[in-house]
Amino acid sequence: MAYLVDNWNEEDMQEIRNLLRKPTAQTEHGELRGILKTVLSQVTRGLDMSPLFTDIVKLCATVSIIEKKLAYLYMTTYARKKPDLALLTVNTIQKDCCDANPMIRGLALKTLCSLRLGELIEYTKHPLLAGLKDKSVYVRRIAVLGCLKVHHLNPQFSTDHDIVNTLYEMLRDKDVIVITNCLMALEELLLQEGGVVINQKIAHYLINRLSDFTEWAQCCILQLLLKYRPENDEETFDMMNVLEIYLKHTNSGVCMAAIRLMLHLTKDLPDIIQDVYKRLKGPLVSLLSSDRPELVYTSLCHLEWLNIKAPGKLDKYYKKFFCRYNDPGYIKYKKVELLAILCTNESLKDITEELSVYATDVSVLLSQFAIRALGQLAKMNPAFTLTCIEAMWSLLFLELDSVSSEILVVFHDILRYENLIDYITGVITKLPVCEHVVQDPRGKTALVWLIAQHGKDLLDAPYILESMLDSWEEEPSKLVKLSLLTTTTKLFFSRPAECQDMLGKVLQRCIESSDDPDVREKALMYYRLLSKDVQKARDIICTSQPHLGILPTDGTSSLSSNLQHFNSVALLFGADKWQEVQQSKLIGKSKVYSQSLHPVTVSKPDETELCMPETSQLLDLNEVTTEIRSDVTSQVVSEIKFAPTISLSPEEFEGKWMLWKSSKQQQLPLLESVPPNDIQDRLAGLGWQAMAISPEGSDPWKAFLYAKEANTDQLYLMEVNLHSETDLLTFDIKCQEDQQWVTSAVMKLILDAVS
Amino acid sequence: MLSQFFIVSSRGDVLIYKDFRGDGLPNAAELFLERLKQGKGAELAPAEELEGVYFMHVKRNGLYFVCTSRSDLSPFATFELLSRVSSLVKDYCGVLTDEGIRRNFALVYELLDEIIDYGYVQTTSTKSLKPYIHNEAEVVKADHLADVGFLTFGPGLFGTEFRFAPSHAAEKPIPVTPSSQGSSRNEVYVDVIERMTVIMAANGSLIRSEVNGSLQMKTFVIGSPELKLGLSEDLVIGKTSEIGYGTAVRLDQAQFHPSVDLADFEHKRALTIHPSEGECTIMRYSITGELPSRLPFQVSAVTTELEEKQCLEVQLEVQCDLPSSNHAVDVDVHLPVPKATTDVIASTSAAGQSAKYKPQEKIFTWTINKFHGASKLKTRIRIQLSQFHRATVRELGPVSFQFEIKNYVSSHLEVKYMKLFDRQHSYVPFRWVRYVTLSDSYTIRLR
Repeated sequence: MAYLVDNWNEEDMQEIRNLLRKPTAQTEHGELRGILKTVLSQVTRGLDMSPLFTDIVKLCATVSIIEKKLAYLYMTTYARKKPDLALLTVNTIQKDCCDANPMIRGLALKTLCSLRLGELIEYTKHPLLAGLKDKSVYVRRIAVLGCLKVHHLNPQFSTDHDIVNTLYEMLRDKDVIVITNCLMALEELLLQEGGVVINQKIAHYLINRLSDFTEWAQCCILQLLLKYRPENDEETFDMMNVLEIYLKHTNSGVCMAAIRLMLHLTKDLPDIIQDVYKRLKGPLVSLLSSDRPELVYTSLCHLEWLNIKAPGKLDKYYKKFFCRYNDPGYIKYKKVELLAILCTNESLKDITEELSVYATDVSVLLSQFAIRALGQLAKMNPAFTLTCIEAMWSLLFLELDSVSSEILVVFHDILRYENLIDYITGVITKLPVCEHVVQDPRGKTALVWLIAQHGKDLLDAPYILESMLDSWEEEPSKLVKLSLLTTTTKLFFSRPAECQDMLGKVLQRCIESSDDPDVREKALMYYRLLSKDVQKARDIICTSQPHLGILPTDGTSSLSSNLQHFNSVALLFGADKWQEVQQSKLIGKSKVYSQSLHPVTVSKPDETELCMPETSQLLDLNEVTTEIRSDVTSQVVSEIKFAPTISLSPEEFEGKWMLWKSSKQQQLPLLESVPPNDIQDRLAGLGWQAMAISPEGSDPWKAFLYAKEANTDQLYLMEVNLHSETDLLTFDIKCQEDQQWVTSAVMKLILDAVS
Repeated sequence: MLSQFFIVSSRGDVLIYKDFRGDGLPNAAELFLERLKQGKGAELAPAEELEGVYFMHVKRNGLYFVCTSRSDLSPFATFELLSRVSSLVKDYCGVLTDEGIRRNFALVYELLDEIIDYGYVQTTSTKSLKPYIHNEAEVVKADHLADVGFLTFGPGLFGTEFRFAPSHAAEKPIPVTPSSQGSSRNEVYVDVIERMTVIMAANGSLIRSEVNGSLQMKTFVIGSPELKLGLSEDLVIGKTSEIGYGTAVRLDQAQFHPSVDLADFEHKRALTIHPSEGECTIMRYSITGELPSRLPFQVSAVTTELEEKQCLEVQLEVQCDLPSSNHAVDVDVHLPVPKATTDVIASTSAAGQSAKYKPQEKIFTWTINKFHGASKLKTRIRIQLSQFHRATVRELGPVSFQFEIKNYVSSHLEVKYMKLFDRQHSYVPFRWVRYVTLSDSYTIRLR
């Protein structure tokens, strides 16, 4: 067949078109199917097949369900490119929506809602509303999500037809998938108000019927139930009992969602939460032997989290963290990191032996991870130091470039710690052996640095340096050159007689023949210092380094402090990367935000300026830290403005206050006492209205306020506390979860106003 | 909710691309491929963030099943879902290969359409999906490695006849319409698969040993019959339970599929299942620590340093401790060699054995097509080095094994009988059982 060729051009397109137009094509299904498949496979490959639109649109009327599916699939891909032509198919699709076969009704409805064309909503309305009441569950499932699709095209639709209430009604449907879809759709439709409301009735209904749902629906429902707060401990325990059986579920998604809910339920019950941690260990550890590496990795990341939450529980499982030779790299690295964390006196010997084996692995990256883990162990606990240092010494003996280099880098990093001081001399005596092995620039730099710091005790130091300086011309790395220069200078101060000549040569070489400006500058500076006053130069160049105590070893504490990161992508990224991700998302979002709002906000900056006359006298604004980058904040601040009048009933306020998490808290020490009324007035001037205020003179003075941002229609709630004794003003802002990135800016606005 | 889903091959082709919500990045698949390329062959971490969108993927058979989302997904559920999608694709296409998906892409789109709507999972059970799938699979023959036959209970009344079916017998798509497979035979396949993880020190002592087993069932039956599966009667589950003398089959822990009825398990060690078509793991179990049978392979290596010739001579002896009635197939013995190696010369002349050296990875591989139980094999290799120093010998090893042992599982777990009850239909389906032990990570250190 000619059209199966790889290069696709206008001729081939024409050929297909001819085939499609051939009168027989409509009748002979087999042939037609073949042609459609060819077209669609080209679509998948990323070729633009939209020129065939007119011809394929006609095929939608076919009776064969396979062809129909293929044609509809093509339609959903290209409808947005050809909205006027898509209109032609509406008749056919509408007719299909009334077909006797529920499968065709469903397919047509799904296609109609997926075309993503605003123009078609008018035609979608009737089939969709009929679909919600269809007798076939298949059609109802599709109709529910169809409402959501249309809502995203035009939110007006759902308000016009009271979709929210219809969907709440449909939660009583007998089909569990319809119910799940309703819940998911409501969650999205009501995003602004905090999603679907889970009251006690719904919560109990869901949790008791949970076993009827599909495993995926169970995951979603367990997630939704996080919004529910049981009234008393008894209810909590009842829920926990129901959740119990899901811990044994073969689908780890369900199991972990259940555990997360348990953690959430018991977060204020410190004794019981420990018990939940204990229960969590089993499923996570058994996942380590799964044949699906992605799940192994996820469970490793969660075990890391668990170990911070409940330290010591995993230590005896350390053998589970030994690498298998066929583990993917990302698993091996994580395992090595965890081995270093889980090490105890009992397992120390096994773990260091294991790490030493990895250190000589074919994979250079794994070997680096293993050596770093050894270094980590050595500095972490004085009891481990000797064993780890010895392990590294015997690795140095192997005389492998990459291994020795990494070990030197590690020594360079850890010798500053107090518990390693006794080993410095030992390390130094090993240096001469490394000199001819190490070729890697990082290793060389570390070696030279070690000589600079501790060279006065090493007899051979000048000779090592000399032989390294001999190959100066061949040395490609600037870093190595710079550190050689520094080291020679430093060594000169401790052993002038042996080094004077050498230093002279190095300086001359750097100044006269070096092409690199950095090297030349540094050499010139040393030269000037030395020629002015040698004693002073020594004081400036040779500063002693303070020794560091043992640091608490957790870089992930910011992630672990938060229960909500359990069973979320955050743990897979780790603390640092996660912060980066959040920031890049923020910037992306605020870009969209500022673009869309630009035309409306012109004169705002002046207003904010007006609000802050006596800032400098009253307040110490250095306290004001913002989480997002300063440039982003200022941009957003200029656009935030609160709507002058809104109304909110106390019930609504209370409901939201309980539901929403606090997104921003801030303390503000006042330099002089301010009457509470004054504060309230200033906030009112900004657009904050009072829900409840304690009478003047009470201590602490409390106020609950609310405001709505004018541009985004977002509601913000705030609690203000004034402690008259300490003159401490505290703010606690709550808002919808996805709006939290703005709260920093909101807070800034408030602080500016109050001060 | 998911925003997009796509399948890409290791070669960098987009095989399937589906946009559920239209809120993702339009060039998501290209971005992912770009990221793969940057990794330069290193395995990509399963979760990535690119341009503010989360990418999560699983890799199966060299194919990447990727989904993207803007919201924070539950990683466990997402990876489970992607794995499930991959096994459904396998069920419906028969095999999971680049070619298989290419030929059946219309079928895969049809499947995806039913599995996920607007980023929300609808259903993933073969049974509820089946009525909605109309495309028929084009069968693609997978090049199969080992011929591990299925042993059958036979269609006969008393289950006494024994027959063999070729190993790829189960590798067929589930039929879409009853007639599509001709005179569709009712067949049930059960695999007892054990994967072995072993790390052994140079002196032969065990550092770590673990067996992870599973009972995989693949069914092609009409209607929904009830199936009763009898396991070894002396099966004991749990580490703490008292074990009498020797012969009991002991598993440290076992997990069953939620659809398995365990009412008869306590007394009769029987599982009652209402199987749905396609593949399903009915039981997973594991044994850690001391294994019930001897480890299948032991290695001894004698290394001679020939400093003047700048080479190492290694005499490698592998002993297979399986019962003499069993044998392992496709045994690969991998030996990492020192970094300074320039060439490896091996003297394996025997038929059914071959040797290969991969210079980039510095790994020497000795392949034995068929390794009989209770036997020993030797090979002598010469490793030519560019430079020689005393640490070179220490770079040798550890030796790792890849193998497949048919009709043997080290736990001795057995499927004693398999009975089908169906009120509507009166037929006796073909029932096949197969036992396989696979190496997961089998490593023996040389120092």
